[in-house]
Amino acid sequence: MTTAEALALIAREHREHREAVSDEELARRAQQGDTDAFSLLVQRYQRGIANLAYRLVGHWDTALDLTQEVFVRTYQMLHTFDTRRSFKPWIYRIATNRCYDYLRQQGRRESFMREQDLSPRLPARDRAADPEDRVLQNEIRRAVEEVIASLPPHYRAVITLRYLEDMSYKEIAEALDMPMGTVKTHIHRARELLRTALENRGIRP
Amino acid sequence: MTTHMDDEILHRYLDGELSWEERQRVRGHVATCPACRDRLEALRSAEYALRNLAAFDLPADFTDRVMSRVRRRAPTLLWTRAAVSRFARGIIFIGLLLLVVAVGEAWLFQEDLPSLGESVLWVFTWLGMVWSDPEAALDVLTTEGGEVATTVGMLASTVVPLALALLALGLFLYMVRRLAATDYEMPTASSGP
Repeated sequence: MTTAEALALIAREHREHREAVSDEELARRAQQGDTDAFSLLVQRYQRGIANLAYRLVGHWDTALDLTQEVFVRTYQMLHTFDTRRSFKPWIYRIATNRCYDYLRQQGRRESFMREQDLSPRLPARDRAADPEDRVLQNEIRRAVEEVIASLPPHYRAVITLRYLEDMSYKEIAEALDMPMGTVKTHIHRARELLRTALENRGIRP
Repeated sequence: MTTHMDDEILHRYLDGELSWEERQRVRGHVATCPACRDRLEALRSAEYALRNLAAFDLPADFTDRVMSRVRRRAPTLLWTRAAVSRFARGIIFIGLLLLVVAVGEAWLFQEDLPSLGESVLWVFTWLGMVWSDPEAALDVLTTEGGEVATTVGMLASTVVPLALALLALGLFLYMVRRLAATDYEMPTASSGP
């Protein structure tokens, strides 16, 4: 084994070790004033929270500002977190509440969805080789965005947590303080609306 | 021909929430019913489309920006609240300890505890005596505490109010801390716009 390989191995072990530490353990350390532990939590959740905020408020820059505030608030409230409970729903609850507050202050439930906001930043993660496929994908994506935009904020929160954050119905119910049945109804409603939207655009499975 | 599947069943099928028998029933039905198969496939497409929801990347320095704000603003607040909390817990602990010791000793020596009012009164009169006439106070303590049991009884009668006072103070601080901690009101999901 060369030195470079050994170093790579150590680095990987270090990384794995770091990743193996649970959110709750990091939160516990952060409660005791370990800001590095908190920094790891920020790294884990910043993308998810920023995207949730974006889905709720509709502006990327505002979403980034709100995300920063959410983390500052989370740090201030950290001592109220019970480390025996799950961290993920807890922080998402702070995040959604901050976004709802913002929406209330702005008094604009209808202003979400600006297509020009979305198009430049669409991720390049699925570049279809066939241009026709790409057109179809863009069409589907636009339908998704329109359906989500047409829904009230609670629905958008549920959908984002489910499909971007991969959270279980139970975790979403905890994060949004709503019954699990409501979470499911929201998801089902979104699916049905999207099914109709896709059919109206002539996109068949 | 069985009756058509309603959407609710199809949703639960996609969510993997159906029992084995129910799943078989759905599969058997859609295999023979094009209308329901189309509805299921359309729902499935919608589900896949939702799973492909676009997510955006953050600026590279985002974590640093957050952490500089956290380090700049948050520590003082966190420190005071955490400190109050620790202090309150410490006081409650000492109070409980004193209470246990006092009650334990009184029980050990089979000495009846004076009532709380009497104890407090006794402590204050005695403290007043210490203030005005220390020698008399010492006399009272030695004469009234002549016998070991009496001394223990008095010890208990002084320690118990002290312990209770500490407990009350600790609980009060703890409550104040809880109040301070809830500076951010958590609105419920249904109160969103």
